[in-house]
Amino acid sequence: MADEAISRKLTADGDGTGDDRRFQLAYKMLLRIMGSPEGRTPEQVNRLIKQIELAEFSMRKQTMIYAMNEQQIDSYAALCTEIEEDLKRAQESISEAKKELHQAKQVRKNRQEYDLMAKMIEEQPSRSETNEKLMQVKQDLKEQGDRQKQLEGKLLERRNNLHAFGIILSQFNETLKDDIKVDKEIIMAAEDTSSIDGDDMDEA
Amino acid sequence: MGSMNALKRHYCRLFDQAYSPDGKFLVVADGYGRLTTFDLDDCLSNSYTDTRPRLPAFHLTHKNHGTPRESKLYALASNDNHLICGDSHGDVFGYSWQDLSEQGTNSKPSFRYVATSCVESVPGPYEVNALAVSDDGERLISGGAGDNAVKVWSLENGRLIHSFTGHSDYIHDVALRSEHEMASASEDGTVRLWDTRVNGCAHTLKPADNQDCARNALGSWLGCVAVDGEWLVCGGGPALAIWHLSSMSMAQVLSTGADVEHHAVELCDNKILAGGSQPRLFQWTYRGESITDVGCSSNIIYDIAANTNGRNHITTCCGSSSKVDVFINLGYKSFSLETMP
Repeated sequence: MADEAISRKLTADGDGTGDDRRFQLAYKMLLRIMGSPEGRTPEQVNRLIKQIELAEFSMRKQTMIYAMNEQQIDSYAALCTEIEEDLKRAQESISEAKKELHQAKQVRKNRQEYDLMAKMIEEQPSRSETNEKLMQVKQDLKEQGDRQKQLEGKLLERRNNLHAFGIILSQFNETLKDDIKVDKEIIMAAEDTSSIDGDDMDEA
Repeated sequence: MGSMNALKRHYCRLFDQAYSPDGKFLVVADGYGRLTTFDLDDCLSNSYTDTRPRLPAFHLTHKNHGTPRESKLYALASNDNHLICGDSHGDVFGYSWQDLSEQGTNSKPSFRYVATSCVESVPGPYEVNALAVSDDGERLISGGAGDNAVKVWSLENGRLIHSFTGHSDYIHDVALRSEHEMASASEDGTVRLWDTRVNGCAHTLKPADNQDCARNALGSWLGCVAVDGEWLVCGGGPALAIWHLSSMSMAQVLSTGADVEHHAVELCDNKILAGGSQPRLFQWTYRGESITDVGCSSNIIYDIAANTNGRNHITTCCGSSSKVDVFINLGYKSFSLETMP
């Protein structure tokens, strides 16, 4: 019972500024004034009024403090939500930046590989140069081929000529041989007749 | 004991690295057969200073039961479920990532393939030098010594899908170009492009024949290869150069100050990263211009890896020391991870 009374008193005491005691005092004063209608003095009444005024003042002060606290809570809640949103935005921008970083790294790697390949390619002669060389070489090849054909033709012709000449020569040779043979026969026939004549001449 | 540790640390060689699919762990394979795991979330937090070193989460010593001693781990690759390692005895093992994160040091391998076949004229063992996993995580490409073949395995059922022979000497590195094409760089001086559609070698590239990049004093072997679409970067004895694949011609030599024999090349984020017989990590743009080079802790760099999973986007390199260098920004070395504290 006493605990209940104490707890009730403590909860009712609020700020602990002694308002409860003031109320008790005012109540007691009021009772005293009511109890002795003759011995009422203005000081007592004044004292009572003063106590009541003080209590009212304290009450007004408490309401103001309460209003102020409510306002503080509201403003802090607003601040809290603002900070949360900022945090979220910052996290999003961090993840975006990470993605960009990853992409940029990939780009850098590609660029480096490209540079390496470009260097390798630079060392080779350019395509137009090689094409020109190819054309040149093809032209040369064609020219040489033509010349070869030409020479071959000439060679064939000369060979044919030589062959024909050879045949003519051999025929001529034959003819000459025949002539010589015929001549020899004539000479031999002439010798025969002259030898017969000669024998005749020797005998005569 | 202390001097033994110091000796072991001095001779430690880190050969390859792999990142877990969630990007939280880095696993490093070394010459003592161990897989050292680092927790990246922890290492990248601000609680470390120069005086307090970053320590590994755990070590896993890989035991190959067919051999009396531990085998060195030369190659690592990763897909969504497994960490795949290739060792110096020619076996390819897979550890499940889940196992590794739950059981740590006590993980057991989930599968094992015999990746290199015997060759009579060459005495064994035949190591696996390079591993790569296809983008869909279904296929594993392995290359090594022995029959010098590039083998394609199906990770679902462990079967050997293709075996491409043609190289005349062991393979240093493999790289995937697309789902049916892959490139391999070998000691015999050629890069061969294998195509599963023709089931054989589609093209052969011999950098040592090109006068611009040949360096006859250093040999004709090719230590590393990386492919991206039309462009291939390879180097080793011949100078590191960018090649254009459609025309099979060299685009640009990536030159450095001194003659570096490159053992590792990686194409990431529009940059070409390479390292080799100098303690520097070299960077070029795709155009072939040198960006910069950054100092590293190892005298020879064997592997460069970039983490694209998860949130810890770092680049790491490892080599002929016990440290792994971590670069958060490729302009400078952020810190080193010590595998043998």
